[in-house]
Amino acid sequence: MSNRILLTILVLSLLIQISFSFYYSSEIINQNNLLDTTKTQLDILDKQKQELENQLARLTSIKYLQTQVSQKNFIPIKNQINLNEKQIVN
Amino acid sequence: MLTERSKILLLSLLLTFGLITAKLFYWQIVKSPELKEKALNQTYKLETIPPKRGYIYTSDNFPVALNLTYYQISIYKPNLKDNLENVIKNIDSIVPNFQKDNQNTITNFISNTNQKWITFPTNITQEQRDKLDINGLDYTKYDKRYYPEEGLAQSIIGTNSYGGLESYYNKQLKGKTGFTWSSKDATGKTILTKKTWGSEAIEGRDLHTTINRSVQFLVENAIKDGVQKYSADSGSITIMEPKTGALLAMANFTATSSSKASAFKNSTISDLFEPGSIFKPIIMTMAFDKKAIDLNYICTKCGSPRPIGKYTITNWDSELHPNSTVQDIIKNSDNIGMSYIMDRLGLNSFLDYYHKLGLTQKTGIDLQGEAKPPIKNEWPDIDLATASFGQGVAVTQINMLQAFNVIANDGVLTHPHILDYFDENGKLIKYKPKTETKVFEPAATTMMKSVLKYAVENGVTARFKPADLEVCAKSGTAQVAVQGGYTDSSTIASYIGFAPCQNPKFTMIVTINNPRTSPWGSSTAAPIWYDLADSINHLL
Repeated sequence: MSNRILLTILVLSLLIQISFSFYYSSEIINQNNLLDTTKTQLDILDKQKQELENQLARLTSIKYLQTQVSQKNFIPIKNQINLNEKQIVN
Repeated sequence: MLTERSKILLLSLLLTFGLITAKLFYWQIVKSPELKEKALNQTYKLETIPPKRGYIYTSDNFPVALNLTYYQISIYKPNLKDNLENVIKNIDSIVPNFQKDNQNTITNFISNTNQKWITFPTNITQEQRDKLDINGLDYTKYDKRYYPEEGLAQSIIGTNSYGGLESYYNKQLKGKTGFTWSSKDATGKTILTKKTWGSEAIEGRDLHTTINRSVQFLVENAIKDGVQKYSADSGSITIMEPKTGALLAMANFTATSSSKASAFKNSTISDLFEPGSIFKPIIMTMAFDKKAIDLNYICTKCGSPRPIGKYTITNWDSELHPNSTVQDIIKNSDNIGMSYIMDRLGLNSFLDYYHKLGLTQKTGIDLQGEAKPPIKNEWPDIDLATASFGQGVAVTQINMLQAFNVIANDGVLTHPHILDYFDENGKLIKYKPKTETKVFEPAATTMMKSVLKYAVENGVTARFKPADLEVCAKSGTAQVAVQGGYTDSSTIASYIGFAPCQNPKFTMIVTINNPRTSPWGSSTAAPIWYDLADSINHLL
């Protein structure tokens, strides 16, 4: 009788240990994957940030503005506001 | 009692156990250090983390130097799933001219079966890298500088390796490389949950300059147009804030610029020149401060040329101006009058002020390549006389601007600088101003301002002056020194001044080297100065 109880306890302990190991190792893998994905996303965001900074710098550069102005044939605004008459003078 | 068979079995078991123990001893004790190192190398990897190089901004917060990420492609033959020729073709379809640019390297790599690995020097962008989804390829990341303004303020910014702020502040801009020593799985991916060792990369500081982008743009166009208009060899313009010494703009233009090095050369700080008549107000302020003269001084000997030893001092236009006042001396740019004022000042006082004005040393501006002006040991009478009108002394343009700015700043010497502050992840580290030196009493500079204002409004450059702008300035035309004398074939035309005269917004110097349309500063450098002053006055 006592042998049977001892054997049951041993088998149960073994099963608990195996299931705990499975759970624990899968948790480690999940966490590692999550960290890896987050790190990759952070890298992508860093690259996107840098690209946007460069794009903004290029689009606001004087050289670019000059090129755009000459290409679009903008007409300078010559209207004036007459504050006394409260009207726009051409 | 054991049987014979049991004895053999037990002996065999003991022997096997003994062998296993011996082998374990060999692997775990004898070979332990070697195996441990191998295991570490297989499961751990050392990675360096390059820091981000700091950006450079103008004072109006526009970036002028940023980073672009590039990659270099490497191929590892054993990991290729397609044949090498096809892989090269695929790369070429995404990276134009890849095959053409690396023709010899590719041919050698294909034919040499022993060579497993190669890295190509071609730079590819992030976008191209994302498209290259090919097994067996590896990429090395590196940053390259990107200058969005394409040449604006080039001589100030420099490049990674040559001159300007990039070199001067390289230590602060480059940051510190970090590293990680971490375990990796079978695919080479880092196991982030395991213990890692290392240090974070420290990003380079962002550098905020005092340069105003709009003013810099105007100045660069003005000097380029000026050099072309007056058929000159080259020219320079520098503008500073009188109270702080902060540089607002600095530009050089060389008509015959062809080499890359000359594009980065900053002649404002590296080239020495004889200032000529723009030096006269400095000498006159020294004399005011020393109380050697005052506003009532009359030059009674100015009616004739002045002989000194075997030399004779004359005026630039050979005209004589008897009984000139101090206003007339500056307005007419009278060499004879200045030589008599120098007599009253005396050599010792002149040298004392000359030193205090920083004209015997570098200004200490935060740019690489500043030249130190020379100073004579011997001062015969003729040399002292010619120094009164800026000949026989040599300074850089930045020296001259710093010294003249003392008049604008009520007698206080400030130090020119370009750094405004560093931004270290939100922590601002401001430029620490150097000790300001009081050179002149305000009474002396007030007198000088009134003289300069009179000269501007009544002199030959009055026609250029915008009606709504109060200006204190002086023109100069210096002969170019050659060995043993001066050449008649070229001059350095210049104009220096500040505006408005009271509480000035800026001090500016314009120099034009060897203008061929007219040699005079009053008809070449002055119009450029006034055109710019009119625009800048509305911007600042």
